[in-house]
Amino acid sequence: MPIGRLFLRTPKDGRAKLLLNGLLVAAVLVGFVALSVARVEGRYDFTDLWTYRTRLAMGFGMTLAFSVLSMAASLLIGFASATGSRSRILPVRYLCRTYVNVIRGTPLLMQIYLFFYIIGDAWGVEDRLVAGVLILSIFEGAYISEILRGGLDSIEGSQLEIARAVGFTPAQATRLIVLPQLLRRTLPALAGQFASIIKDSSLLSVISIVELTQTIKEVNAATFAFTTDYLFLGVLYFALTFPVSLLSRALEKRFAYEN
Amino acid sequence: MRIECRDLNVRFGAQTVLDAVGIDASDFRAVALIGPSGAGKSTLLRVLGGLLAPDAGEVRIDGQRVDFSERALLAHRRGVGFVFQTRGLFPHLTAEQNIALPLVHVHGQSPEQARETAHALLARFSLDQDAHKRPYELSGGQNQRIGIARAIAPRPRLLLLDEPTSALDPELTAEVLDMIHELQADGQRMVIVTHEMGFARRACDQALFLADGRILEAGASADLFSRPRTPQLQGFLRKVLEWVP
Ligand SMILES: Nc1ncnc2c1ncn2[C@@H]1O[C@H](COP(=O)(O)OP(=O)(O)OP(=O)(O)O)[C@@H](O)[C@H]1O
Ligand SMILES: [Mg+2]
Repeated sequence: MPIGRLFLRTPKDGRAKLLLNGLLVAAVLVGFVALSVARVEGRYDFTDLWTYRTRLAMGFGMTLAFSVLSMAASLLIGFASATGSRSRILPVRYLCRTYVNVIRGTPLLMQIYLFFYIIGDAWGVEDRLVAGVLILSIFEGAYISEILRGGLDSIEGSQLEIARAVGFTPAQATRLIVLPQLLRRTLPALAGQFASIIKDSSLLSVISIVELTQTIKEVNAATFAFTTDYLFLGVLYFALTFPVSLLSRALEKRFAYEN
Repeated sequence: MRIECRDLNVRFGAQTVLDAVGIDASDFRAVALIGPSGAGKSTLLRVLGGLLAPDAGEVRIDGQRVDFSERALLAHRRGVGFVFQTRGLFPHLTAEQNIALPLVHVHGQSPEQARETAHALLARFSLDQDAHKRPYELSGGQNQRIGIARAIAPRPRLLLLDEPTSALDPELTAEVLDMIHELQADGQRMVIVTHEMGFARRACDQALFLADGRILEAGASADLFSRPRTPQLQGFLRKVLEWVP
């Protein structure tokens, strides 16, 4: 058997072959990182991380809390905006569409700085945490709005006619027919957006919110163990986002054929 | 059962789709609504079912005037079953849930009661194996039969069917028509839009011929089919009964 065949996907591959290829990629990646670290004479030092474990745990908890609160708030904002951008009332429609386009068309970092001073100074939201959740939710809400709007568009108009024909009131039609179908269609994309929320929350460190990234910055200022600190930071974020993307993929498979 | 329509008018923009439609059908078992494509058959059926308010005119069912305000229509729709041409089920619900959900939320049955009603109906029409399947797992014929079962589950006084077989293969058409025929034998009153002329002629005792938004002929279906009076119906029957190259 030519050696090249070992790396090609065929219909009947054994586990050993898949494992071999997986290990190969892992070895190359680890080797590359190790080599890079060696070239800058970085060192691995996990004792420092252990010393700061309580602060790290608090930072991790903070990021988790920020993400969960922002998911809930951005879902509300996104749903309101998605409904509004299909509204028959033109000012509402234009307002929602402007919101979505402006937010999606500008960087989060700029929004954080700008809104922090607007929300904070002009409107007196002193609490950094509240401001942080608000800013993040307004940003992610624009993306969620587009996901939900697409979902609403894809639910056939005939579904509402059928709902009327069986005797449902408009409220029942929304609750029993539209929302469940909307959720099925958009859950995979929403889960993907939730993973983005977790990662994007790291930018809140620029307004000195002590979430995970800011914690690592501070720890690093004391330990100077740059490589270990940031590798570890990556591992922690990945531990949060990977389950979400696994869930997203599972949901996608489950609902894909139903529609 | 008696259905009367007087001077029904429906317009979509500048287009008049129903033009002074008058109907008086009484003591029927089943009314076949026939006519060329675009005649306004679906539109008329939607008005009868309370899904569309006419721009002018009135509808009476058993002498009672249909009030086309949204609130009153909710009550009207409860007494009428509606079967759609295609994709009439809710795709996120199983066959059983499709039947049971309206029973619970519209007709006030308890969930157990509704589930039993659904099962009894599915069993009656040999659909028991499909109770827990969703529409995408079922054939077009099964979808239609479940849609019909859902429409009759609350025991409506009138069943409206809009071309229930026109999206089906011939062998599936037969199984759906058999089911409808069985319901007629049970005394279910219905109005059916259909292009199955054999069914309209033999299974329905009355017929309406709609063309260009007007009722051109109405009466016993035996008469309509054997002695069409208007050139429009004569032409229509010639076209649908035999293929002329
Ligand atoms: N919601 C609507 N908006 C605008 N025009 C409509 C609407 N519904 C129907 N029409 C028009 O009204 C006319 C009659 O339509 P309808 O569906 O009632 O005909 P039909 O007799 O059921 O035809 P078919 O046999 O093709 O189903 C058509 O010209 C159609 O384009
Ligand atoms: Mg039609």
